[in-house]
Amino acid sequence: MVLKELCLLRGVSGAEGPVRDFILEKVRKTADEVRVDRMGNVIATKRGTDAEPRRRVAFAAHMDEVGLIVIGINDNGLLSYAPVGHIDSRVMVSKWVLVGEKAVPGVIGAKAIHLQTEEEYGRVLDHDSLYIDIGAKDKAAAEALVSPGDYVTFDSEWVEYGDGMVKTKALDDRVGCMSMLSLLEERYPCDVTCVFTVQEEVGMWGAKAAAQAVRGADCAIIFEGTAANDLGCVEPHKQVCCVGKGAAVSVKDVSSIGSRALFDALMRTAKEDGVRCQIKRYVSGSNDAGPIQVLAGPMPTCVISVPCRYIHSPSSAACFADIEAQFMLAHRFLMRGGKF
Amino acid sequence: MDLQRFLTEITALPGTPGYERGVNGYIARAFAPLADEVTVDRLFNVIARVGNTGPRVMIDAHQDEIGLLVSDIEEDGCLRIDRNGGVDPRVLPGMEVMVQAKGGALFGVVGAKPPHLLTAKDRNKTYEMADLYVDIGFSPEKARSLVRVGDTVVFRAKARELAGGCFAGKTMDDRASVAAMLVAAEELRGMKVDSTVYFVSSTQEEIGGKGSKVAADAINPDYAIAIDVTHAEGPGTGKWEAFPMDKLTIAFGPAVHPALFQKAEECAKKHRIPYEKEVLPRYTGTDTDIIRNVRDGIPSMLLSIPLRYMHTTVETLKLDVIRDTGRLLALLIADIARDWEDMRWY
Repeated sequence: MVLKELCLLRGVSGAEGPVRDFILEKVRKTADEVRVDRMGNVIATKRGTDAEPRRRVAFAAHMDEVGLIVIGINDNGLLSYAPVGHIDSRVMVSKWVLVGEKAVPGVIGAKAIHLQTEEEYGRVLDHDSLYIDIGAKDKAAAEALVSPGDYVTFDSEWVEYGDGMVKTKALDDRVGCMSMLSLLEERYPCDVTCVFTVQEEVGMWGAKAAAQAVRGADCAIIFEGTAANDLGCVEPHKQVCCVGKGAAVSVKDVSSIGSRALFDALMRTAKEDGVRCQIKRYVSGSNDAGPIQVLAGPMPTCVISVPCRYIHSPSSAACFADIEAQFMLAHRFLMRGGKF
Repeated sequence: MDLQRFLTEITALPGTPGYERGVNGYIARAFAPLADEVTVDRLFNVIARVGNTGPRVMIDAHQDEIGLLVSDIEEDGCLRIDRNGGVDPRVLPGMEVMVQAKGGALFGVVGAKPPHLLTAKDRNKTYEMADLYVDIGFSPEKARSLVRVGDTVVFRAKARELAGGCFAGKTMDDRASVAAMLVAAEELRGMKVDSTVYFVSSTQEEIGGKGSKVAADAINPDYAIAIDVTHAEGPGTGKWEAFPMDKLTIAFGPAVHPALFQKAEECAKKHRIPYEKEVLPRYTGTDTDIIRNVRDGIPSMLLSIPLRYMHTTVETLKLDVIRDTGRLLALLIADIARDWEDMRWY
């Protein structure tokens, strides 16, 4: 399964190589034009069937995932790290990671409950007080295997569970990459340009450069994975979006306010063509729509997200039907000529 | 024995306190070729007897693991949970689990309120059990039909070798010690030892040593040796409360019979098995505390395997220390058997 392969590839922001190589291999078979810009973004275009001048719809999804980076090796052989992208340190305790290009296995432990003081029991262990343990007995033994600057990924299996759910790492935003790969397999009346960006999780740096590649497009649709907060008896207005209720279409998030005309066209498409969709209900999260809206000329944008539980953790979870809906909504919109 | 394979297989089997049936068959099969007799009692202790002459010794390592219980099924289908054993709630967010439902185990993820919806004050607090839930990915109706309140929940984590001869995974506490007992049983086969050895893989240690209590009562041994894990030096550990990871510890203190401690220390020195003396001023926090008070008192001692991150799913130890512990056990049983007639308790 392509999504499974995509999620298990290791590509922390700044080190997206394995993901890019995989995507390039796929899009070279499907797209009409493919290039990689100097930032490492992959830009793939599929020409439309309408007579020129044609409409052009751009898409963006990011290849990178949140992870860690080794910042130093301590005398006792333990590695100090910093997060790359936002990670709540509370999800790191008691987890496996893979360090560097050689994927050296490591664990992140914590002082045993038996030894904690009452104050320690109630205190959050932040990234500064957690360490990666690769089993090295001292600094020299660790240096033989890893170096400062090594990128670190979660070591999380692909597990299908429940009613059509999957748990794995990096669903944010390999789901979006997957949806763009699927679009490039089709041919639409309009031109389609898909931008697979780098470094979204550390400030949307890839999109800031890649925006130039979508200049002149009629609109840009951003595919994302976004936080679902739908379990644990959360009040409806705080749920953001719900797993299993379809692709989440955003009116506004932290980085941009979408085009209302494009939003309305997408919701109309969903309703008329029977694609399961929901409106994202809570203003949260930033994504590549922010830079693309203003750096490619004035660009109408809209974000279509797959609701993901436990996003930015080793155990992100999503529903296959929602992943399919993300693709299907864009697919139907393009079948209609990408007009809004 | 292939320690890595054994640890990988046994730590994947469910056995929270009181529900050790998921793992005890595997243990019984592992002991079968090494023992004269293997029995399972009504609290699920697995008792493997080797030999039938000389002093009768009970070796004890517990097979149960910490875990969770389903305490409620919410309107939205998520499962509320309570602890079964000393689980640190800090390890739970994002933890993978297997809910032991009647129709088969169900995969789940422990969820919590996501950080962007918490206040800055909340973010600096650890999650409490009441904040957490298990997501099994089913609709509320389906969840209700599959899961019952009271179903046990077991952690799911990989077991894998690290650098430096280390091995990490869940439930090394205390199945690494069960592995040490198997090493000892193997060693004993090649030795002529005049002793009756009962290897007890005990149950319910994590909630207070119920299994070892009934096993010791039934066996009524002449003396007992418990094997458990202790804290290895690691992030945040203080002086004297944690030990080097590359050697076993021999416990000393009121819970340990001094005559046995002396024998163990002599034996380790004679055979150049590296050890550290672990001084425990009152309780040991292991089955030793239970066994020593069974019937009219059973002389007991404790060997421990240091590990880092106890009660997490990344408990980390050295494989060589498991081997050393097994070897010391066999040699110590042989020494005591040989000197049995001259053994003076006080």
